[in-house]
Amino acid sequence: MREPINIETDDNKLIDAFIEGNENAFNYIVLKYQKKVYRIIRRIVLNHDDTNDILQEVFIKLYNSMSEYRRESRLFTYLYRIAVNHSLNHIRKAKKNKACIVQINDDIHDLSSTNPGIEEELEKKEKIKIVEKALKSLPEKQRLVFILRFYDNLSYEEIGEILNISKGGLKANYFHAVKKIQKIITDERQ
Amino acid sequence: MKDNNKNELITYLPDFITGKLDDKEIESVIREEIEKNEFFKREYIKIKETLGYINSTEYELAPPNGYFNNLLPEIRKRIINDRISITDKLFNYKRLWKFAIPVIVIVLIFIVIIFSQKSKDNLNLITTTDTFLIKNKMSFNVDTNTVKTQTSIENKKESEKEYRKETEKSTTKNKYYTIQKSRNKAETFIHSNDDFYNNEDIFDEIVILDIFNDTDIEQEFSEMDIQEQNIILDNLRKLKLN
Repeated sequence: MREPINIETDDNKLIDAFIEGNENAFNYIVLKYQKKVYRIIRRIVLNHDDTNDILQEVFIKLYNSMSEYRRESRLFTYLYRIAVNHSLNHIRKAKKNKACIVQINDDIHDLSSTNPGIEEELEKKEKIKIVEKALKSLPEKQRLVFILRFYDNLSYEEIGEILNISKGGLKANYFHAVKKIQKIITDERQ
Repeated sequence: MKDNNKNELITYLPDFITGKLDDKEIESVIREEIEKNEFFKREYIKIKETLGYINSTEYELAPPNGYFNNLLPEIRKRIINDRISITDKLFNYKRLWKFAIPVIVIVLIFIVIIFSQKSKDNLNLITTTDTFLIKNKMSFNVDTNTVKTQTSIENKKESEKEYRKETEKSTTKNKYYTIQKSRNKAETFIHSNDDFYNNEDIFDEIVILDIFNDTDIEQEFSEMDIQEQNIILDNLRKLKLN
């Protein structure tokens, strides 16, 4: 008798179950990783609508390529790699950086309308604007390293795997990203 | 600690501040440096402020309320739609082929019929000219050398010529009627050339040559008098068959 599966089941077992025809296994994978993958995409493309599209594409790609997944890396690393590649392709194609700022500001406006304290919300809005500007000013590699390390708490080994680069120098990349962000934040606040 | 090592130590500061530094030894060295090294301390404070600033904006990246409740159904919907659209495409291709294959077959049949018809029709008339052009290896752009050659042949066999000519002409007359069908077909191809069409003698000569074997044709042609040869060649030139 097959072992029952749930969201806590090991990734490899979920994949095996899916390959054997258990569609629920895919549902559990989505539920398990949707928030993490959403965040990584959102930080790269910066607005919710694009993130939503890319996130769905990432999981659809996983659904279609699950049988080809070789398990050389962990499932979430594989998912992150798909997410990063899709997000970068999206940015390169659309070149929507300016539109992204507008979208983010709109999102923030929506949030502020539901919360009390207009001044506090304006301050948050300003902070986000500065951080987004700083992140956008980073070279692509530094930006991705910063996002994966700072926000997603990934190890340098995992970052190297996701970005398909050697881990040597990733720590330095991270440090330089922080220093550049620091400079922009300092300049903007003065 | 050497300068190189100190510079490298600074790169650990972001990880040290965010608690992601696993190496306890490096951690204790950084603590020491912060206490005794002013420059290092200033760097530490600046980076800590920066990361704190960034961290304070993180919550804004949350999606709209209830977003994750609808995500899985949306993904499932798109997977099904993708499957349907793939099936639709295949179906459309099938429909396309359903019409395209018969059309292609019909066109090919037409082409084959037209070409086979043409080649059949051409055969009767063109073999006569081919006989001269290819088998006898003579060009219809006949020059004086060709004529001279034939004249010399004619002189050699002058005595036999009259007899053979008479015999062959009578044979030709008989065979002429048996190839009437071929002639009719040939006429359809030469109708544009009235001179040729109306010239029964020339037509007869061509047909005669057609029904002889190669040796006979060569012999026959060579045994004709120069005038006859020239008439045949001139008329063929008029036809522009060369």
